[in-house]
Amino acid sequence: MSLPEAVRPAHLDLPLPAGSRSILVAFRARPWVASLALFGIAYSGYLAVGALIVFGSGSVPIDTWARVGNASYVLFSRDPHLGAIGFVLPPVPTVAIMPILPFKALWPALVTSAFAGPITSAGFMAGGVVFVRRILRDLTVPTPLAWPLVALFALHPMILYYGANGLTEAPFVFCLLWATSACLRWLDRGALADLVRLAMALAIGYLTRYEFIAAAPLAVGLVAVVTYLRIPGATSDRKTAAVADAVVAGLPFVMAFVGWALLSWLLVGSPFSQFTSIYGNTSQVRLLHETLIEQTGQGTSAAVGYVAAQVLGLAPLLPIIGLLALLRAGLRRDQRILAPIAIIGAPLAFSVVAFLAGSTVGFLRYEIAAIPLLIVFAGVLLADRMPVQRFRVGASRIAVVELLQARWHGRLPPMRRVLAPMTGILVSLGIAISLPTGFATMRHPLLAREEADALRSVLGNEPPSRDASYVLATRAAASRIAADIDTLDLSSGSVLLDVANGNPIVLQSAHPDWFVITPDRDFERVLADPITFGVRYLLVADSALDAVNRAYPSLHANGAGFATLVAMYDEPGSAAWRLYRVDPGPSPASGIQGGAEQRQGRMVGPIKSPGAT
Amino acid sequence: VNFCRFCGAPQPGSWWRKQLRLPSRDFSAARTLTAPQRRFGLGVAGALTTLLVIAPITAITLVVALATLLYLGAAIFRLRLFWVALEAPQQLSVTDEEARAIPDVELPIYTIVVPAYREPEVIADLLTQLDRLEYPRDRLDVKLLLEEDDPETQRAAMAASPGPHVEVLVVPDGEPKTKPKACNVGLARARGEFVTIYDAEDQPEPLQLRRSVVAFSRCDPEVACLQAKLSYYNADQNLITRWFTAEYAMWFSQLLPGLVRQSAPVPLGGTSNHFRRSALLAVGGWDAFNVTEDADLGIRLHRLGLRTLVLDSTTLEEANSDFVNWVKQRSRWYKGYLQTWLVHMRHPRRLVRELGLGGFVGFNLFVGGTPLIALLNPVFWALTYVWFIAHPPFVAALFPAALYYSSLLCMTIGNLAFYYATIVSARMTGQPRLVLAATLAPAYWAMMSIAAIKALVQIFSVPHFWEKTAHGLDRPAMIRDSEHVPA
Repeated sequence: MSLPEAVRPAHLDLPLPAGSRSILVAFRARPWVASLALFGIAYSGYLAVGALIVFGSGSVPIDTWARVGNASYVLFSRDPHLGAIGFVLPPVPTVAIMPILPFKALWPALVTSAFAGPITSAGFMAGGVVFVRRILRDLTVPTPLAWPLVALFALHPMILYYGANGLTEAPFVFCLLWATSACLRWLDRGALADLVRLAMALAIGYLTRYEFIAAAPLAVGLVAVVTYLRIPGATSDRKTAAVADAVVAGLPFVMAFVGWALLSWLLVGSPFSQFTSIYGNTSQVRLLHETLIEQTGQGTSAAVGYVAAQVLGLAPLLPIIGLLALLRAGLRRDQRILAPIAIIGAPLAFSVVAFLAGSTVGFLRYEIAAIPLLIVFAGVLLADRMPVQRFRVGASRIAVVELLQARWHGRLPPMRRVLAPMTGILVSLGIAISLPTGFATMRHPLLAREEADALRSVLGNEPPSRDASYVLATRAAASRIAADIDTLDLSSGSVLLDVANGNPIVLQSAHPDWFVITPDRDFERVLADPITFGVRYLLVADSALDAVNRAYPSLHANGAGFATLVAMYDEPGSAAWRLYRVDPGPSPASGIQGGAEQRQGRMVGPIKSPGAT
Repeated sequence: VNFCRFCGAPQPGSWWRKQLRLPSRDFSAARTLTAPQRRFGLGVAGALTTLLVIAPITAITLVVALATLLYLGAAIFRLRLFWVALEAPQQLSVTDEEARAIPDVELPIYTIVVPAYREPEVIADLLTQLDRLEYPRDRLDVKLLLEEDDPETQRAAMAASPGPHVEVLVVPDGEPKTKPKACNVGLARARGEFVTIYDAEDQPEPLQLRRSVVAFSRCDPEVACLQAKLSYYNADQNLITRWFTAEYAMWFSQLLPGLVRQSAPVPLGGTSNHFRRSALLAVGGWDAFNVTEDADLGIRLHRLGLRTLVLDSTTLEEANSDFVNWVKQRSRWYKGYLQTWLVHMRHPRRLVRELGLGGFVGFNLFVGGTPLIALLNPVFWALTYVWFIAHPPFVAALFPAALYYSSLLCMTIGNLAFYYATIVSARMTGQPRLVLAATLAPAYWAMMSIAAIKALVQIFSVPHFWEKTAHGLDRPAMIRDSEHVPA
């Protein structure tokens, strides 16, 4: 539908250079063309960086290996089953990888280098960029200001790195922006389709990152309150409508929450394994406790400064632009400001509070929401047109004619239109500061405990340090172990391995079915009695959390009475690994007692043959 | 008796013979199954039984796989319709001003066909409703169609002394005694350029006829029918009526406009469908043997290249508020859908040619799929329940991994998506309190399944039996026994 000339927003009529006109006209006539082009450019950019990370430095975050691993175990493993998808991490990022995996027959690097991870994360982040543009368009930020803002978002080093590295930050940012876009549109026009979009985004967001548990109730509450305030009629009718809209907006989230918990309960026996599992967040915090206090001051007042430095490093002007946007929206009674606060602000606040309360380890990436929040705040600050629907005005459903009238009447008076571009330029310049400060923060070894190592590895082509090997894993290190194991003459189910750190090994092995891995349904049984089940080797990480170490605490000391150490691997960019051969004999008694293991001197180097040691 | 008691065709020499061209036997549900269909059905049943004896697990797994495929197709199809309609409602809108802008003298003659049977108490209301229509009396041609064996209603009609624009026609007794037969009789005498049908208890929106005239004038001649939306005036009577209203909102505001958008055939809804009389005559009127003659007519129009659009004007009906009565009505609809499906699937290749592949798939999923899914649902719900309670090995054997995952996906996503779609439709009605009723929709789905089972039994036992819906149940003082047309 084209707008009549009289009601076209002013920014569409800026004079354009002669050559650019036809392209821009095409974009205006078909907005999806511009979206598609933007997606294509952003996608190729993120994918290129992803290729650099994967094939250049070869150091991929261990969680990316885990996602590719989980997706792969569901389809191709010794025991393909749905439960292998894992319940510690939410499913959407893993499910998104699955359709790519069959192509590993054509291009093994998808799996053996975990490149399937960057392929999906680049897609999600490029989608996020498209949503940033849509949000700015819907807010009627003048086009000459909107494009630089889109570019500043897309090129922020944090966005660039996480769009490329295959972690769940990309789908998380995507869902945040999707939900925000839907919520903004609904606040603006009140169309039911947008409310359904919001509901979908909240549900899928929860299945992408558990932080949505903070966003969803706030967003649903916001919908109820806005509906109550906005529609005309008797109080009881408004209450009913508010409840109805809350049901529409919140039901999919509730179904996702309950459904995922139910599935988790049915398949692994625990409805919330992200909290209770040994691999989940709680145990991660406990493990790193002392290091954390030392590095971040968690539990003390210094922690506030630490997390503030993280957030402000990524988005230095967030408080100022946020405050200005709030002020302007408050003066204009523009309720759209509430969308970014509820949907992006809540998970950000949640992660800050969770860190201060000592429930998370406070990685820099948990604060990534600060960047989309900054951009959307800037959008609200620079919005040209008022929302179509305002509190206590207008019916909940309005005709197109009314919409056009509102566009006309909602425009700013001319004086402010002169000031707006000035503000816009200042705001854009302010946001541009985020790029260098963000980059500096990401290279700061204390503020960015993961990213600093990663960037050193990617930019300097160095293998990650020993401490970083639980975060990054280089392909080269694990492939040596995998190659050694491939030389052994084994059969299905011969090597027992906890894949928490071992995904790169299994994925690079030519015989993934040789491994009995944690997602397998019989893992616990095999772990309890490896000899009976025909296990011939134990591959054990140098970690107290490793399932085999937990089952046989004396493995390091004396081979737990049934295993002989045949090789040790301690290479940069990999967890240290020990390979034990299982000696035939009576079944050992396992007992999970945890506790610190005794470290022994390491022998570095590959094994020659199983019998040589 | 002027009609053949076996095929419903007018008897040789009767007056109706000249006036009425019933659809050819090939397009009529007078026979439920044709000989080739019977052979095909028996062949399939035989093959399945043989397989069941040789390899029972494989046989049942095959059936389960086919059912899963059907579910998957139907779910994708329905959700697409839902989303298309939510995004951009495909309804023809005519504003009040535009509708009133046509001077009376330029309005064409409009025929309103109103079949009624054993409902003397609604005749007066009907005439009131007709008087509320903003259309010049001299251009209205109302055919009030009463049955020969229904003297009470005939007396009531006489007593009400309707104006000259209402013609009371008595339909000669004889089988089949169905609403479509009565409508055909009305059509034979119709004078209007346009024809519409109302039920006796309907409350059409007063500007509907004018809107229809304007809308027709804006459409290509291939648009032969405008379906107005139906809703209920007694939505708040009880839980069943709330569910029913939410369901109708989904049907008329989402599914039918979605079908229009995809140029799939549109099964019409019981009343308030407006036709060009020429088109209606060209397709041969209604099928007197089909108990959902409206749905069948929609498909038949589409097969001849004629189109149906949805008109944004609402007729209020009485929602069925009584459980038993609701099941009767619903089972008749399902039976009719099955009849319609069987009739049009007599020549599948020809149907593909006429509807296109998309339309053909849509027809199968929508007309055949609706009753079939209602039939299958309880089976799969029960299987799921049994599985989670007892984990019996026979269930595991029926679902090899690939099938297990696709059914699991189908069941969770499918059920949840439909549940949510029902709730969103309820919100779309503009009556938010229906949303709360819609949250209990699964109980309504169970009612549908009961009706579907009844329909399946009836299509083979009494295929043309018209289970009349009792009306007036919204008026407490006038609760009557439901009436049946004898088979």
